[in-house]
Amino acid sequence: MHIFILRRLLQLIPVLFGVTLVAFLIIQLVPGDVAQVMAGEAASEAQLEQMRENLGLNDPLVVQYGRFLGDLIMFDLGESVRTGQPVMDIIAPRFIITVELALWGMVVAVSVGLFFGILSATYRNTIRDYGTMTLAVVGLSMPNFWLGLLLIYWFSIQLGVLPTSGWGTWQQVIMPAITMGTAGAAVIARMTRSSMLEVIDQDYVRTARAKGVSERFVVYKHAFRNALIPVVTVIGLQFGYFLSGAVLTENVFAINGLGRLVVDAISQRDFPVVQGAVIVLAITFVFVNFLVDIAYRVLNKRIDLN
Amino acid sequence: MASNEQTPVLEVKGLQTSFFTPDGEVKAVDGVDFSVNSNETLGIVGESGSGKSITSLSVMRLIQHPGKIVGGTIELSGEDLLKKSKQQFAKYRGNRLSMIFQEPMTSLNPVFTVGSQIAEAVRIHKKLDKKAAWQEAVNMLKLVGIPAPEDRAKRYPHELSGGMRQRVMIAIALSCDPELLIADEPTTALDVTIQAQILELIKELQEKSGMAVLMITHDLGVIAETADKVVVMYAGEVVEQADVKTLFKRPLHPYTQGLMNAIPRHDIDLDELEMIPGTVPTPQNMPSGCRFAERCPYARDLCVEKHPELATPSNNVDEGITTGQTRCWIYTDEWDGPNPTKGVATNQ
Amino acid sequence: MGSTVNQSPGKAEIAAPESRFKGLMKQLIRNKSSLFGGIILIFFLLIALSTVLSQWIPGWNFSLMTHSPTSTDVLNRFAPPSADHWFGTDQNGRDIYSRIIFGTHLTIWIGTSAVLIGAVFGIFFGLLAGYYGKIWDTIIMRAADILLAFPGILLALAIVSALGASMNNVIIALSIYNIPVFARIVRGSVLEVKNIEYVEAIRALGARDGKIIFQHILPNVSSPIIVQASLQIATTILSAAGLSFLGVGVQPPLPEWGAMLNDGRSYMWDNPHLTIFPGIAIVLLVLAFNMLGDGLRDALDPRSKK
Repeated sequence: MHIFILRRLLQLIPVLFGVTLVAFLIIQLVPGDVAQVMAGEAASEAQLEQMRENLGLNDPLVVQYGRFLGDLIMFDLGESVRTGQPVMDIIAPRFIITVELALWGMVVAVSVGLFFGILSATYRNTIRDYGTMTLAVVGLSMPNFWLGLLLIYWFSIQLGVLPTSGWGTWQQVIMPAITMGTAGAAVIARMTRSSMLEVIDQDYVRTARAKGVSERFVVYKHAFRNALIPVVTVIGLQFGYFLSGAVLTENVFAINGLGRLVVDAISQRDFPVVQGAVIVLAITFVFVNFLVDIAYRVLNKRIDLN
Repeated sequence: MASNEQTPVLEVKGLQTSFFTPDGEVKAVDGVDFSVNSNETLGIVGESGSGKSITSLSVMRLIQHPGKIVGGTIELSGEDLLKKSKQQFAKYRGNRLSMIFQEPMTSLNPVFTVGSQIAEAVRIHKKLDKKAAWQEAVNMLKLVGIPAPEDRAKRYPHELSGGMRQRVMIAIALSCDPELLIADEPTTALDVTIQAQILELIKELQEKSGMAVLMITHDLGVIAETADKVVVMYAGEVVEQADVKTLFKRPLHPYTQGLMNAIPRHDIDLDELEMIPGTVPTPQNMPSGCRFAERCPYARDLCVEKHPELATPSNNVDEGITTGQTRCWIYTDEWDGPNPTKGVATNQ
Repeated sequence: MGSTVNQSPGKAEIAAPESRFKGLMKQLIRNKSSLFGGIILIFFLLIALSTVLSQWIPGWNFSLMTHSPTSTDVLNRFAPPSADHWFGTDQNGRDIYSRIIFGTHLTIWIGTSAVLIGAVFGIFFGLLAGYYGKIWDTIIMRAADILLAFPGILLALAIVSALGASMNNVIIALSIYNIPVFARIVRGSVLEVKNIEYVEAIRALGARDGKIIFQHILPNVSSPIIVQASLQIATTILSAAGLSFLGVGVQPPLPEWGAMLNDGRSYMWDNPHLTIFPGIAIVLLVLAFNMLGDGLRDALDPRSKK
């Protein structure tokens, strides 16, 4: 097990390296003079030179990347070209909000997804199953930002019971959590269903019935515990998508998280901030996947019959 | 033969189990009768597709959708099990009657320790607390001959060998002292040496508790070793029924004779080993006459046209020989001429 | 119990292409999910076709639009749905129905072209990695890991932010996002197919790699590619709409549905029809691709469950 973890950790190194490289190179995609784009048309030549100097844009690319990487290891993501604040200081408080938002989204996705997935599997090929699975594919097809807008229209504008924006109070959490969690719930419900159906015909489920275990315990204890294993992977992956889904959800509900920061930084052409936020989100995603891999491995060890 | 007048532990009459597929009803078990007394082992033998496993699952009421028991009665010590509600029957299952399965590798839940899987059955039926149930589980492991039971109880199924797992299955099945144990091919998946040990264990535990055993197998060797009475099934029907000595001395039905010849014997060269050609007819196109006629070397027009009944032979039986019942025209008065099977297949 | 002869699922089955196609169509029509998805999709495709043909063929007007999608009418702003303006008008008095009709071909174009480009590159890299293995495999799969480390629309967002917001840049960004998805699937399928007997036999007979790949491997990995393409178009349309909603995608006045939602959200308080109709259009189109993809998977992948 330790060897497995170590090997997976070693495999992370090239990926993390690559992520930073991609994030670094993205600025190189900017057509024309980066300094000009960032400083705006009105900037004087002296101002541009100053900016190039500050960002080290005059050095060769390799040197720039080396410095970028060196700073990154010291948790230094550079400074915002707008405010001059260290990017790390801008990102940190907002990152926490985004993670909170993603976690609340997870709560919705996992509870709703598992519930409907199990329901669907237990009532396989009945109206409840078809209804649930139709709902799931619709949930999967809905842009989450549109769902957010509908929720605002209904609960804030029509009923006036929930605030349209902000983050902190429990009322402010409800709609963003639903917005974030719906698509995830749909994915988890579909996965849970197919995983349950695979498990429910297994010999050990029959054994449980033969012991006199009640149908409810057969489903929730014996079948579900085994069906959960592949679902864990999906849940982990969903967390990653929630980090990116936060970009849209935060935008709809005016939540000052990392996602909103990225979009604002893009419109202000504040590339160091964009770079920093993208790197932080990607690295978080990589580590979440790493943890999911380990969890899957631990859970799966017992299953592995050979 | 002391068992004639007592109430049988299990009495199955006219059992019919069908599967309702999109292509129509498939009769997997079609009117099966048998009974088992306490301290007795009834072997049910047949090829795959004969309906023997469906019969055993029907007794446990473990037939899953789209299958359904459509007729007959199943009585446990005189109580009709098919009349019980689901909840009532769950109290019997694993308690008064229990079952072990063919695949010990997959029949235990991989995510729970074996001890907790035994204790679960104990807790459901005996209303013991967690600790007492665990102790009971350890005792059961000891009873089924697992060394270091305290330690093994904490292991997961994948940490045990196939033989050990089947012992655990037996421990689960017997943890509540059932009146009836159904063993569905309990040794098929195991090594030969382990097979003998498991059969020995079941026998030994039966002697201790006096339970009735239903031994489902395709292997007449297992029958010879364990059974008191035998039911031979073919295509969802009983084709022959006798006590074990009678059956082996004088198998009546050509199908039984074929099965006998299929047993590998040390005195016969393997090349001469006779198998029954052909396969069990599929329930979708069941012949209207004798279901074995297609594969039977002695079949006549009569056999193809009319369906024989299970009956005691009235024709073509040697004087002074005890026989069971069979479902074959040869042994009825409608068959004229001598018994073509005579001297063909006996297993002295 | 029944020891049926085990056919290796789906492989080695080489039916005549025509009967295979017919069989597939039959299955798709019998499957309620794909039938429904297919019907909606054909409906949208016809709308798109009508718009495109009307632009190409001068003097002919097949268009389903009742008004010009871009002409403003300041006297008739925020008109509610009526006989003249079926879905009402927007903040500039433009007919929302006509804008949605016109936007259909944009959305379908973005979704299919980004998936097509992504698939072509993905198949190429996947074949390279799967068929030639060794160093190719390591490099390509590591690169795919890196690109997939950016969750959801994050990578596309970063690329578009650098390239600048425009429809073509959205297509480029989403194509890049799709490449690793296809590369992984193709590689996996190639590895599965490569070692089955008939391919080995043909190889032993000295057939050229190109011949093996095009005549024997590609046809056998086509099923997962087709299934994934359908599902991926759905995801890509959602991502494109998300980018436009954030203001970094297709730019106004082009009536892309996501951009229309971005326009409408500011007026949602009094005029919800600006946000409701474009959202429904997105849901329906994405739903169509998702359901078709589900149906294709049921029909083409023997391992998937009903």
